[in-house]
Amino acid sequence: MITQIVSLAAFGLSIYSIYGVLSSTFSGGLGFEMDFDETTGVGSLRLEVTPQNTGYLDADITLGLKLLDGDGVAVASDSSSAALAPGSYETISLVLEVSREDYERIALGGESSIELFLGLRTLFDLVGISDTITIPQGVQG
Amino acid sequence: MSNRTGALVSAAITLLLFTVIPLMAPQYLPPSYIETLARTGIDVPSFVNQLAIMGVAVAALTLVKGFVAPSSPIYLLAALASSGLTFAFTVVTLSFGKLEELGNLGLTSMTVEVQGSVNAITLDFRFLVQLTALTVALRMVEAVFAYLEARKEAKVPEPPSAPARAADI
Repeated sequence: MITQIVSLAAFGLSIYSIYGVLSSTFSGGLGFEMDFDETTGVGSLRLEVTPQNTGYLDADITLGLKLLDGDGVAVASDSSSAALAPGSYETISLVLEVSREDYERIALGGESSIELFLGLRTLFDLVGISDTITIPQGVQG
Repeated sequence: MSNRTGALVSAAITLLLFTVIPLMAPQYLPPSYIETLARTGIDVPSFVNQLAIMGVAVAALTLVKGFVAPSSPIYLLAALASSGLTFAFTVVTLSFGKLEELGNLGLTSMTVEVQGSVNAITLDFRFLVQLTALTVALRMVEAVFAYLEARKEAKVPEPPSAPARAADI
């Protein structure tokens, strides 16, 4: 009986933490900012999100961002992790820097995509969810 | 409350929680929510039916346990099957009724395509399945011990009545 109650409580608390962090991460949509430095020829793509842990358990969040060319090969990538205590939040910034050659290759190729990875684990790293969003060129922004 | 009344009440609650509520719940969900679930590959009617069938089975087993003597092998089989169904219920629930995911025992994947973007989600609830497996195993062992105890008690002969004393005659 005790194990069943513990199991149910663990499930409920885990779901609550996961839902809280995910909803705060994706609330208001994902805002990508693109920039191009004409002096260096380096283009950059920035994503900033502020996940908040509204649950009662610690949560570890990992965010990854990749720019894939037409062959699915990563041209640029960045990732970051944060440990969120209950009630806390943290701003995570991911920046992809693309050289002029890669930028031109992708622009001319016409096929590229952005891959956003979100990994979230809670309940002492025992329960988790991962979400990989692939956004093809043309759908972005 | 007698064993039979207890079993009837328990079976009624089980039916309500695991059969009636799941069968009625989709009517109260917004259609857009059902469509979103369908896009992830979750077949809501099939999922609900799976839960409802298991609810009926658990309720039936609860009734059997209430109406059969604990020393009967049928009681033991019903207790073991009931525990097994609890495990199945957990696995089916955490797999959202997706038959192809049942074997992953709590590691469920789904893919949603929204406006050209592909969203691949993986849920890792393996720990909860393992915890349920432990609980079910302990309940099965407990059921076997309870059955053996009941058999032992059923076999104990009635103590012979005390011989009448001479003074009583």
